[in-house]
Amino acid sequence: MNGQLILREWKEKFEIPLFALAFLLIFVVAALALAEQGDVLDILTGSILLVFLPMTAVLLGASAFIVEFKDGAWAYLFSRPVKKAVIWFSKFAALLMLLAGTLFVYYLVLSRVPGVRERIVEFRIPLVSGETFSLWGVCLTLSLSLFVIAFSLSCFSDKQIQDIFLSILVFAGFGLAFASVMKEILYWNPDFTFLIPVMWALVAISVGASSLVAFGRTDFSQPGAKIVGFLKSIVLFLAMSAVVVWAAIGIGARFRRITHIGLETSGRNAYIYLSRGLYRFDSERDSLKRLDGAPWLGWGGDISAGGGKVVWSHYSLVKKNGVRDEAQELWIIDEDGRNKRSIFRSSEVPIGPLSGHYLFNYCLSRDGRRIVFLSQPPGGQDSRILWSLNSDGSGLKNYNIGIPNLGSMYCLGWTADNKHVILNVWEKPPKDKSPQRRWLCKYSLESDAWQEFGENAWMSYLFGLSPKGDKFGAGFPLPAAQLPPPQGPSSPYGGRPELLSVYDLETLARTDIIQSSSFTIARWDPSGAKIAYLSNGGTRLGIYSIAEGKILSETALGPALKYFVDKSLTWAADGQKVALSDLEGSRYILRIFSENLKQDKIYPIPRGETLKTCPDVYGLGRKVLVLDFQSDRLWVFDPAKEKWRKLF
Amino acid sequence: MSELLKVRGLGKSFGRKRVLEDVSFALEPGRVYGFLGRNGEGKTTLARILLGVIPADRGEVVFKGEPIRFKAAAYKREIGYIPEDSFFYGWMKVREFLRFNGSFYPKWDADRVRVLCSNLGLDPKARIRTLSRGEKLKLGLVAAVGAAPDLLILDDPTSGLDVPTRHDFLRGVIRDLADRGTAVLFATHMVHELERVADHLLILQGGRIILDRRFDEVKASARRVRLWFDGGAPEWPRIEGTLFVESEAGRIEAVVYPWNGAVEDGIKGLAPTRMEVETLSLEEIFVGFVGSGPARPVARS
Repeated sequence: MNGQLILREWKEKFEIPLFALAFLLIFVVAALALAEQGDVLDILTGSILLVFLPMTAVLLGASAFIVEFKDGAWAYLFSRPVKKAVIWFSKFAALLMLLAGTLFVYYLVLSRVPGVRERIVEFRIPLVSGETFSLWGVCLTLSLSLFVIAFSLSCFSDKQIQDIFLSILVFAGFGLAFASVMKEILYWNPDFTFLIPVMWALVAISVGASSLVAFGRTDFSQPGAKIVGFLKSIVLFLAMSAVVVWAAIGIGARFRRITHIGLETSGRNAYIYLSRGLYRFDSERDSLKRLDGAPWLGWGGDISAGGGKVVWSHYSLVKKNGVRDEAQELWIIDEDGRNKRSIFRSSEVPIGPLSGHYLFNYCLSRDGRRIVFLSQPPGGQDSRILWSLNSDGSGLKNYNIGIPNLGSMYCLGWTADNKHVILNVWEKPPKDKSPQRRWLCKYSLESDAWQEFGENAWMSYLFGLSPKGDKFGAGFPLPAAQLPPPQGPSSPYGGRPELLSVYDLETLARTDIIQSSSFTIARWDPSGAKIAYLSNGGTRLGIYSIAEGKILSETALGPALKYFVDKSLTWAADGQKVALSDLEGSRYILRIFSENLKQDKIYPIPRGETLKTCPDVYGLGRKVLVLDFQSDRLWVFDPAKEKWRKLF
Repeated sequence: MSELLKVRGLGKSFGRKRVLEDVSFALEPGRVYGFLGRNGEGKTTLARILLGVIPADRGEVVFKGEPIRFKAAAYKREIGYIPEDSFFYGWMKVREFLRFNGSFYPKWDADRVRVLCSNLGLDPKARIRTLSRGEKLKLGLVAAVGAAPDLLILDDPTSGLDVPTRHDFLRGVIRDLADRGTAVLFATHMVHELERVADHLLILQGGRIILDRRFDEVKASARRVRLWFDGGAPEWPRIEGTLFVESEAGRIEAVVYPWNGAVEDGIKGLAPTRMEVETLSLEEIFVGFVGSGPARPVARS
């Protein structure tokens, strides 16, 4: 940069910021006079920040080369021993400093004027994505973008007014382009709001760089050649910017804020479904593999694993015959990451049986051949429809479940024969305020026949289907007369089950296995032969053998929190040990017990002292996954090596 | 003498219009080069290419032995330029402009600039926009000379000057600069003015340099011949160096360059009844070269 050129530019263009500062004086006087008239002051403040200052910026930018054109001084200037790039940068820096100075003075003054100051702080400009931008942030973005565009274009136009209008048009054009990128490609996903300033910065850099290249390279005596040179450059720079944005979307997806972790285990693998993609964690190899990188994963989706396959869904947008259709897509992939394919797509437009339905609760059959899922029809509130689909995408079928007074339902999984699913059913709430009836249902996908069992069963999610799908565990309350005094908190899903029972899913025969006080969780071991449970509000840990029909061992764990469940339970070391997340003092720890419930060791959970809720634990082969769903972190612990590894 | 600037095969087109076809010449230090050509022949274009203001399409410019790239700037410290119309920043004062201009040149001679301003009657406090065209030209001249350039390019700047100033400018400034070792490329339409200062003559026509000779050689070798015949005039023979021929009943007038014994013998062979041979002014020589007809082959010294 050249100091003399900067100084000359300041001397030449100082009237513009001077005019802006004079206007500021008038505004301050007006603001003080209109302090009582809130609406007027709102409009005035908004106009200053969103219209006047950006217009000052565009005026400054458009004035850059106007004297050179008007006085014909470009030939003089270019024949001086200064590189054209230095001329360009010197002018740019000089005018940018004038603009920055003006904005700074406005900031200093407006942040001290009573009434205006509060309005600027309080008023935020909302985006469709729900994010908001401060007035100063928008003012800066508008001003700087318009300044750069106007400055860059001023090299090519000898008419300032033409440059001003063209700059506003270009700005509006890019603004529309960004809005459509955000809407059509990014669905106004809040995680990608950061791209808006990035895109503006890239446009500013592209326009500026194109202007600089054309300024330095092309023949200034030829208006046509200048414009062609500029257009050639800007096409190149915008293409490069598009690649950068595209890469930012792809790379950004890998580092996106994780707002939810979906986890499903199958064998020794865990399938993790989150906004960064679909991953498989192989506990044997201790490897994490990204199976799918669609940036929209975790957004309106669900996951299920089984039978060597993983199924998941996410939203996507398709435009067909000019019709914009935003709908859920169902995808399937083999456990090894091969054969990824979309097998089904619902639709917003009325072209199929699932148009406008929200799909959820996917369950892969144990052989991986069939998927059942539920849909909620448009405006259906609590109504649910059960569907099934072959894993190759064929054979979509819906089930007209003849359950009377059916309110809502949830699919808990497949039975061992791959012919039935177990549903958790809620009847419609009674009008007389009596308790809503809730029960379990074994539903045949072949005959549509259904069998009711397990009325008022609790812990369907914390006990539920055995690994082989031949049994179902649930908790039940004892009649009031048999109730011991309650201890500890209730089960996370409500209720204080005092009796654990197991159903044979072939015959639906129920066997009551353990009676105690306030069971909070029960877990099948990987073979389905044993059950680990927490009773007495989470103060006692026990192991029950199905084959022997007795409690193998039981131990006291110490006190539990009164109102929160502070323990999570799983089988570890391939079913040889039991792992427990527990609160010790003010930090969460991982406790591992041998089968006779002798405690092996205590391991502090990373950042365990910061957790406010108990992390979930999942036994996976010889390792244990610890999911802190409060802050969406997933750890894997290897008890053999006593080593933690953060997966997400 | 070593060459200060060498131009080889320079070409420039604007769209489909070829302005410079194949321009080649060389400039030596301490010499004033009269640069002539009709309007639109590309003198300003050539000057702007030499100054790096616009790029050439082809060819090469070598300054002090170094090829000049379009984007280079350092070499311009050694080149002064006075354009046809002096476009400066109107809002600046004379003193301010000269300070601004001087900041670009390490060899800026502030004392000389002060003296020149005084001699040329330029008010340092005057705003440029209030100056007359002639005063602006003087300012351009001071700005160019103040840089103590090794090469000064003048693109027909003197047309706006009054006669005494022009006289001072040509004799006092240009000649003085040349005597100090500056090469001056002086493009002008006021051909007669060159006679006072030019050492060398370059004529540009049809995108090429058609004459590149020492000025005194040109003056000495160009002749106008008038021939009278009894009866009708014969056909003008193929005499090399014929620039212009006009024939009417019993009379032929021709301009020939270069004039030598062979040419004279050839003309005498026409057996005119009367023959007059006279030397030409520079203006007449220029008209002889560019007045009509196609571009002629380049004559080089």
